[in-house]
Amino acid sequence: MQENLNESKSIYLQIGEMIENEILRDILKEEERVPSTNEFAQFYRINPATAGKGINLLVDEGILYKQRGIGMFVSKGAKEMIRNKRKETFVDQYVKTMLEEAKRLNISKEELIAMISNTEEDK
Amino acid sequence: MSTIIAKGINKKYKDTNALKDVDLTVESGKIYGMIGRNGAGKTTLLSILSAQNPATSGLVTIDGEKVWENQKAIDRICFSREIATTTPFGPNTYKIKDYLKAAEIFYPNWDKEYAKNLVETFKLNPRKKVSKLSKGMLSMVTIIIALASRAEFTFLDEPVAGLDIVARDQFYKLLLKDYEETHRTFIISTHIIEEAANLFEDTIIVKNGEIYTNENTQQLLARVQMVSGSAEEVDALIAGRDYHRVEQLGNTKRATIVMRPGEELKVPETVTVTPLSLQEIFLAVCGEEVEQ
Amino acid sequence: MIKAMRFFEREERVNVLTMVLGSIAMYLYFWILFPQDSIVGGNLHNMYSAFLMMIGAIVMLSDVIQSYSRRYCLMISGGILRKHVFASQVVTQILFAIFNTLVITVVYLVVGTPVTPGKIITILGLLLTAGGMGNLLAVVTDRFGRPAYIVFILICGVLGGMMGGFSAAGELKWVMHFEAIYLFPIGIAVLAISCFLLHRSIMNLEVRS
Repeated sequence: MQENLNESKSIYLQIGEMIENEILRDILKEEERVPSTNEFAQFYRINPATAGKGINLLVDEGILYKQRGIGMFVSKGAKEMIRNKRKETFVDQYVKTMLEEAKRLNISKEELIAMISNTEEDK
Repeated sequence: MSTIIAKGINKKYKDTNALKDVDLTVESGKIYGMIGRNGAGKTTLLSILSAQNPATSGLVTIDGEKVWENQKAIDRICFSREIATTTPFGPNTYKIKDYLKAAEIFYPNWDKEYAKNLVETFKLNPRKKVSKLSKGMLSMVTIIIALASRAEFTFLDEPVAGLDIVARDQFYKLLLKDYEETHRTFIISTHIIEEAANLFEDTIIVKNGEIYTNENTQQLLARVQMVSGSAEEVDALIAGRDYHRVEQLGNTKRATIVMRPGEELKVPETVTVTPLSLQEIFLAVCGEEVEQ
Repeated sequence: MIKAMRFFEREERVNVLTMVLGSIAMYLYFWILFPQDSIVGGNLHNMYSAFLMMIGAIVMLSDVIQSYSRRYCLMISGGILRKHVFASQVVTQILFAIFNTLVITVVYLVVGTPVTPGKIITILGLLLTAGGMGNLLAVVTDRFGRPAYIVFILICGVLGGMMGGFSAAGELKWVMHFEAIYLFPIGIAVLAISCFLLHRSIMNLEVRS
């Protein structure tokens, strides 16, 4: 877990996102155990109830599953679930904001598409 | 689940009303943060909740039992106060070990081993007189007493005030570790809000001798937000609401809006809504007297 | 109440030590000061018990001030009930007076001074009076601050001096007829009145830190 917590978003959402990022980056693999609520709490110096809320969010979505008495694990197909979920928010979070800014700058859609295809992806 | 309930608490000193009709419920198993300006009544409230000082009027109960002069009730509470280095009759000549020995006599669940470990963790010399201690070391002694008391309800009054950042971080870690093991209740008052905000499941804001709010910290963070936009738009938004800290720059206006729990803010696209940190919320809610 | 007594037991160790070491120190001081063949020097054994009594009385007079300055706040914030703080203070005082009297009696017996019950009761009465005065002194000082402390001491000094002076001049008949044994009921009375005030003061004490 490399990232730091910030104040722009609820802490429990950030905890959830951080676990998701770890899964997307294969740092946490499917069927692997996730750190416990208390481990998260002590690592980030946050209240266990808040950490638990973030983790439970992922359990509700099926990304993690609980095994009674043992702990929390990454579900099979978790990576795919996260990708699908993030694609849905991608339009809202990135595309719409980009279009708004483009509008303010009088950039046409064609220009925008050209910009995207001309922008080289960093390796 | 156990609860401490304060009802209609008033505290009058000679010429001031330190607490005005305070109602407060403290539930077991939570870490509470208590924030408020200097003189808002935090220490007074904690000392009345723990029956250390009498209220002028009102009643404090724990699971329905009166707390005042009730040994059974008081044995469940530890309010580790700031240690005075001087007394009205000269310097305080007690040593650290005297405080620890007294605590061992006083608190029924005192954990001697734990206290010993904490003294080592903080690198304190138990033979030192408290009048010779720095502010940070005094804070450490109060922290050790609070943690090793293992009391069901533990109150700490500005435990980190004198500590440097390393020791503060150490305290937060110790606190969470203890909480993981015991799941007991803590009320922690602090002025260093930013770094401790995430530790608090619930936050109590004390303002001018009254409780401004006592609620889940995440809920509070969600319902207080800053809006900024043109003066007309912001004026229209704040009308009829609980709002604070209105500031204007040219034709741009911003204000902090406090919504009702669960309420969602609908704003025109031209208005920006920014979430605030607990510290910024506190500044908005309690900082107004200063501005006028 | 047990907790309160355990706390006081720890606190009073210093006082017992003060009493023993203080009286020995006084003994040695007089021993050096007066030659063996002088009246004082020759009677030093008999005077040791008087030293014990003096130091004991001073300890009792000043101890409650100590309680006010640090013990009460610490005890109350440690979860001791106020009524127990009060009760343990008074019990401690009485126990200390009895203990001191016993030590003095033992010293009498060892040195070979004749001991009568009247004498013992008188000593106890004197110590209890000192304790009661100590309570009053502490309550007054707590209520009105340091100036009251000085005024209190001054009044006691002036009263004592006047009595001594008048009795020496034969003016104050009753002082001369005053029987030492009356000290006991006086001690009880002073203690009782001071306890009433002490109790009120402790129940209303404002714990600051």
